[in-house]
Amino acid sequence: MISSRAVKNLLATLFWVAAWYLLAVSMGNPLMLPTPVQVLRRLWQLACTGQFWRITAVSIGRILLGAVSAMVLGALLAVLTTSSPFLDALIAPVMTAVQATPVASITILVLIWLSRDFVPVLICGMMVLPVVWSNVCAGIHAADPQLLEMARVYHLPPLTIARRIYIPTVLPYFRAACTGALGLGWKAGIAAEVLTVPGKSIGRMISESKLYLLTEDLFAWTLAVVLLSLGLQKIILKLLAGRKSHA
Amino acid sequence: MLKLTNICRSYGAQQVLSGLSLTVNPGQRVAIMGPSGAGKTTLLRIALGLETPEQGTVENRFGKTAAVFQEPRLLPWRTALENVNLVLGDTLKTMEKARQVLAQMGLSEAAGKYPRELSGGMQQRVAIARAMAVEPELLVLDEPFKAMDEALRTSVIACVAKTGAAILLVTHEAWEAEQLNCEIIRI
Repeated sequence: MISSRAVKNLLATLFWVAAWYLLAVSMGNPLMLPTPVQVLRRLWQLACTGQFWRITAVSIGRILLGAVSAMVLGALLAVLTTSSPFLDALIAPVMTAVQATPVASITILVLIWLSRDFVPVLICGMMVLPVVWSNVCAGIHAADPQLLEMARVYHLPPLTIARRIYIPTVLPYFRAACTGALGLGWKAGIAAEVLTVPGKSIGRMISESKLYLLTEDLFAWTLAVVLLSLGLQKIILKLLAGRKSHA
Repeated sequence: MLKLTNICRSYGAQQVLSGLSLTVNPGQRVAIMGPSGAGKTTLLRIALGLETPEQGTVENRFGKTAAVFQEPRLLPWRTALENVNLVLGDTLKTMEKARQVLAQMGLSEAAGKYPRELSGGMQQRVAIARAMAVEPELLVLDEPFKAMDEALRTSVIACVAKTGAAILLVTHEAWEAEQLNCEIIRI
């Protein structure tokens, strides 16, 4: 059964697509603004080629590598910084600086030091890392002190305390961080690809579309980025939902 | 043996414990009674090492110590059985023992239920089962029976009374202390 929320979302989407269509028709210049039909047709043409899927797979691979590495590193850093005030004082300003620095500045700076193929991986990781770190820190701080006292009285081993108290408490925070940060990392990673134009990448295709005034291609690749972002988020949500606690 | 000597503890300007000394020997049962705010729970927390006294010393020579707090303090994401098994090593091998202790508390049918599916009294019985499961030498009880009706309270107290452990009980009910054959100390 279709929920009323889904119907509302569908109607809102149709409204904006219709507005886009009317604006494109009134402008009458596909180089400035192609219609949704033209964009969908172009996306379909691209999707029918092997090249599209190879490029997409490489971009997804880069972004997932950056995101997953940052998720693991963010969680590990959160464990370290919540257990050591010294490390917290050391790491917290770095995370704040990373969050506040514009993607373009970091990308250009990193491009001086690293291969252009690796820059989007690092940029995606840098976007994901502070979000995961701060959320996991919040989760660790939210562990019930009464349960921790119980664990202390019964001399539960540290590994049991981690598995049975901390991980179930932190998991909802980690889940929220992953779903939010992945969208952020995906957008930043593609932006880094546009700036660095690595060999095979969605960013290079977007950059070339702009360069050669292939507006339909630009819209089609952008639409592909949006659809892939939504798809990836759904997959991550499903994977993490499988680890839901009974809390 | 548990020996508390000249314990002092205050919260801000309020002196809660002032020079209190207490000894609990193996097998001995002691009930602490007194008005609310007299420092009974603070005393238990100091005995358990959860709080540090401002003055005085705590010496706990008992091997295994178990505690039942005023709240059940069960893991909400683990079943009653898993909560009891947690303190036994959290392995499949110890599951049977956890099941037996729950049965002694009349909780066989609740074994597979999560704490949110149990009443307050049942949750507290799971907490008591968890404490009994470790076969403690010292059992520290902070008003553990107050969420239970009188009939249930009597049967659970009878169950706890069978333990050979030394008991340090905090209660407002003199008859609970009598049922457990406790020596009463008023603070």
